[in-house]
Amino acid sequence: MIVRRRPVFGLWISLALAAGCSDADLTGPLAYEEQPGMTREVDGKSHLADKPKIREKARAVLAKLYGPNPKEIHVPEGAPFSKDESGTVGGLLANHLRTAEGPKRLPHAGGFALYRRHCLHCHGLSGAGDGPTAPFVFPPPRDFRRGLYKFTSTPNGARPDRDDLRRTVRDGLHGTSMPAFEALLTKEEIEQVLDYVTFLSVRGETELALIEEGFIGDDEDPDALEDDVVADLTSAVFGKWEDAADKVVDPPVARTPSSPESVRRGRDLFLGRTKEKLECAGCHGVKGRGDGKSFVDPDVFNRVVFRGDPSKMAERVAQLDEPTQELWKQKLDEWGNPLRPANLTVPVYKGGRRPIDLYWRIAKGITGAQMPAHYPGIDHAQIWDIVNFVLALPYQPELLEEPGVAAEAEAVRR
Amino acid sequence: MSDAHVHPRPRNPLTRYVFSTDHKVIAVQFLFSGLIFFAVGGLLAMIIRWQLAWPWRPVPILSKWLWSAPALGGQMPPEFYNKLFTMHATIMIFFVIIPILTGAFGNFLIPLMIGARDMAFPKLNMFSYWIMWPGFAFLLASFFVEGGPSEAGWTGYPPLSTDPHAAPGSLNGQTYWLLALLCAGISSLTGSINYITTVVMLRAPGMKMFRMPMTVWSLFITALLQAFALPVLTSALVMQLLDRTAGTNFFSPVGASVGNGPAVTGGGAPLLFQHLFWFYSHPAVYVMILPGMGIASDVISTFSRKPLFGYKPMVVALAAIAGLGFIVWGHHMFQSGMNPALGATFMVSTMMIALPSAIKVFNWIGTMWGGRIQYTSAMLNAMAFVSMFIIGGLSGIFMAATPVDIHIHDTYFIVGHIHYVLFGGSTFAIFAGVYYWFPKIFGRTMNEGLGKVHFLFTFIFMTGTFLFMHIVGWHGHMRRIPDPTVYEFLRAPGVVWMNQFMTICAFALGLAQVPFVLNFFYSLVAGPKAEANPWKANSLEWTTASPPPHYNFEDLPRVFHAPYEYSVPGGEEDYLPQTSPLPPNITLDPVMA
Amino acid sequence: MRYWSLIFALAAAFSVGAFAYAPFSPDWWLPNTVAEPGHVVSKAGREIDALFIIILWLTGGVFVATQAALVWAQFRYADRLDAEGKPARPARYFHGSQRLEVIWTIIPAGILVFLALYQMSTWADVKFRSAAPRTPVLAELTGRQFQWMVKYPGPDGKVGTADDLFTVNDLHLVKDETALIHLKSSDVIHSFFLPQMRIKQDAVPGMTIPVWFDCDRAGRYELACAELCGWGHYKMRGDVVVHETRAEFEAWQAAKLAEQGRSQVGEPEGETSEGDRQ
Repeated sequence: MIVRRRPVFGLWISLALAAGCSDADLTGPLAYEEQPGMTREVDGKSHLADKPKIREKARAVLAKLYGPNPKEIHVPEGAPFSKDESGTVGGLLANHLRTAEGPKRLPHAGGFALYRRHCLHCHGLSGAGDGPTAPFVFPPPRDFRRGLYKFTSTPNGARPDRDDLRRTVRDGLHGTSMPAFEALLTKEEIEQVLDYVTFLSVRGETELALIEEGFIGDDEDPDALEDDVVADLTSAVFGKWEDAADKVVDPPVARTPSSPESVRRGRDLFLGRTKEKLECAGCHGVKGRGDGKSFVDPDVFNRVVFRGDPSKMAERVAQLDEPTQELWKQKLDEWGNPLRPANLTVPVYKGGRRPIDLYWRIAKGITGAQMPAHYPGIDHAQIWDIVNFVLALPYQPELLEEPGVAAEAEAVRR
Repeated sequence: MSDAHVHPRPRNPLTRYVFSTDHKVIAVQFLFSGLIFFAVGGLLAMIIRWQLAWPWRPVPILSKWLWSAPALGGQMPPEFYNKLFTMHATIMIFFVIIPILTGAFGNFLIPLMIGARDMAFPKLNMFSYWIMWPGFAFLLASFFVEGGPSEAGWTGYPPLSTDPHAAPGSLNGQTYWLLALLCAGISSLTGSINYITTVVMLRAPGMKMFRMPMTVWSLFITALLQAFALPVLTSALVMQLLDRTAGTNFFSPVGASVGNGPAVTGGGAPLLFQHLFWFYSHPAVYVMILPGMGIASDVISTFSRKPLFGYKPMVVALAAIAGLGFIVWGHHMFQSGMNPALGATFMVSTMMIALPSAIKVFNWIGTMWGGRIQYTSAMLNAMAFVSMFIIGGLSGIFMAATPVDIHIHDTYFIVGHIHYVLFGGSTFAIFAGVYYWFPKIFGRTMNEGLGKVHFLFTFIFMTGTFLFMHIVGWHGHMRRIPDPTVYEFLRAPGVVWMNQFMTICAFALGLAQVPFVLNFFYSLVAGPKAEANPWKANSLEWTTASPPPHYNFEDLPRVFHAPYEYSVPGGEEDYLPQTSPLPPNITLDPVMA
Repeated sequence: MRYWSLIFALAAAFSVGAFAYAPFSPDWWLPNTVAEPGHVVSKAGREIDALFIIILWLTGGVFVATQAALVWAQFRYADRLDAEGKPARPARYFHGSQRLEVIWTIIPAGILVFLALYQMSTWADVKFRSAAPRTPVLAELTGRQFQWMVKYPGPDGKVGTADDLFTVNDLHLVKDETALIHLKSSDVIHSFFLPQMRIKQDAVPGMTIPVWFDCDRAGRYELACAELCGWGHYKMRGDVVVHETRAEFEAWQAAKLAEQGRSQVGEPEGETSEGDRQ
């Protein structure tokens, strides 16, 4: 179903941010930041620390595929970008197109320019989530370079659908520092930004794939990372993105209309009173406040994350007692950042408040976080019951405050 | 020497030039540190203007080492912009204008003008300067802590300033900012106690209160303002410091969750800080303008060779401004959520404070009227003070009108207003004072030609820089935004043009200070030696040598009249020093003079 | 020497010129819609502008008069030397005039008292809680770093219940109907600023402040944050959409509610998504 053209190198389109506009006067050398595995040994991960030749090859491949620096963007054949007004794939990334006749101005600002102006100071030039503002916001900005995004409509671990990214940029992520850009960018501009975010993602993924491939290769092998291999790697990276649209999870059963019975069933599921023995309360707490026993205590969490300099967080973790430290290390997300379970008593939902958003969170979990996929552990109707319960809880706190409910939940968990 | 209590000048250079108790040395110390910080604050303003004219375009040269994120390609992070305007205002207000006007001029002039040998408390005086240094240190240190310097604005409103996660600068920088301001506050407070005591106790024989020059009057009233208002600021700063460090909750309301952090469990009131802050900081605005009014009055009278028009009404107007200054602070808070009925009363008092300011302007023009105006650099700057203060005063009426303030509050209109008062007013007064008293302070004369070049370009580009702020302001341009083009109505070509025009003028204004710097330092070492009374002025400081000897006067002078007896009919000269009695045929109007 | 006065005259003339030109350029004048730069869309705005213009004329008159007096004094009374290097004319010796002092105290005082009293009713109409319209609340607006969270009452007409409609940076109201919103903040102080409607009110954490305004032209307007609220202060822009009719507003709200209730990827149940994208 998905047409996979074999990438033909040398046919890439080169988009350059040429002179004549405000993008041109960036000072100093702009360089993509390399992922740690490129130069350093990383525990338990692939790296090229001891393979200087392969490293150089990987660098050359990346520069050829995606351009040597952010000012010059190359679009590899088959890359999962959208078309611009003239039908050029990747034309949304920049504001100039390099053609045989010289630079041609495109009728839009371009993803890089918009990204630079609106996103860069948090997400960083390479999309590593390391902009100058990044250390001071919590939750930390996303590192795009692994292609993983938390709030998606696709299965756990899959690439996001473009619509997921669009929703995130447009509406923001409530309860985080990601603002809503609907009032700041036009629809067309949001598409340009999405393309650039995708660009940074596939670039980072390609980089990781090259590191992994090189890790098993021999540094003296002249054929390491040759064109065929690289082509396979990139087509695998692009393929995941192109597949995403087909993988969107659509609940086969429409939502059970919210009713006291449904909410009550949802509550019982939440509290683990049913035979499925769900452990929601273990993390989200018996009162839904995000203070479950199997997670780090919120007071400890707040003390570590919110009291003191962000750069000294590791020291604060080190001061915790041994079991808490152990727990802390278990409760990190894929990117190594501390996690806290959602407080369900306030109507703030990072991934959106529509029933379908909550369905996705419960059914397929949150990519990279500790929220597991619950489908097929429970069926669709049960998921809708939980959705109804979660949506009702902020307005009916008594749901979890009836006498005995909390104690019972404790008992059930033991 | 006739006075047995006069001690010789200290021989040790350390106690003579550094840890000196001599009010003249302390004044020079205040002047130099103030001027150095003036350059720093001005540089910050240039970067602010650059960003506003060409948002996110890297600043030439500076961007490489000012914000430490090379991967940004020189683009300014938005929080850095907030740091810039916070530091610009803090430095200019607390480390430039107040120290120069009260610290430098107050220290130098009060004893000399009232005929005293030194301040009442010389050691306290030395303390009031050296306590500034921890303030400087805290301010500079805040640039090197995690999160960088404060970025909550010079007003430091909580919870933005109190919650460490509200902004990077609130992480650590704000604590340093508070400590720096506390030091500056202690300096002002000890200084003001000293000035009040000196003026009340140490006047020379015959120097009645109503024979004091306007400069002394204005510094005296300024000192009273500070003495009564500063304790309130100090307590507000200490409360905020406790909120930040000791876990108190004076200003954080219950339930507020900043930066996705834990919700506040206390129960404070953000508006409380605003009340406390403005209870000092509105009078502080008068602290920054009243000495300028005094300096302008003396300079204008001297160079018009004519008595000051309405000396006593001028003093009364000063006192009225100071008195009313304590009951107008709420006009900073019309839109703050304060009870609007309270706003209505503050509006009436604010309208009334315009009155004494108007009277002063009319009196200055009246002083020039019929005079023999000598266009010295000092006089030109004093006249620019009057001219620009008219704009600053009139634009204040727009803000005093509460309904109009709804629209122009927190816009560039108010930025324009404050700069017309603080640059057009205070800074021109500082320049006038420097040109006027330089010969007395350093014993050498400044170059008049360079002085006039400096004045000409400063005056022109000051207008170019600040005038259009009113226009973009009433067009709705918010203050404290690094990128106006986010908004459609601020993307309009006219607004963009004005922003760029203002920026270019601001750079020219910065360049226009080069002749001043050259003139100042050249004259300091190589200017022609000054005579005791180069301007043929009446007040007491001109009766002693330039520079004045240690302990000021060989013999304490005897005073016969106020210092404004210029062009007295029948006199040989067109001036009559305060130490010479009036001719018998002259009687003074008891209401006016 | 006397020609220095010209510099002062030029600066004053330049200032007057810039201010006099301003009303003739929509970019320089008070912000209005692009289509009708001369029309103020809100009732409060019209009153505020009228007051603004009165003050502009008054201060403009005072400005011209005082600057003219200053420049004339500078020009006329500049020191001149005769052929012998002596002053051509002595300065006049007088200490002031009691009559003038009284005159220039009384007249400005009268003007200022007039201004203070004249504007009182506008201020009361725009801000006094007793003047708040007795209409149901249009929305609850909560400032947060760095966006405006809007909460409309759902079908039950009450804010704070499970059927509320949530939007971000998107405030909708109906033409010619006074919109009453409850302003809140969940973290630091923000300020709700509608430039075209001349409304500004700080949003203070821990307080709920009613704000009301109206608009007599349908269309899109801008909502800004006017109080420094952190690094993203400048990003806190919101859209304000004024609908022509209540039906249009309700259709928009219904479509939004339907989207908010979406439970499957396909068409949302109930309402179609018409009007969702405008």
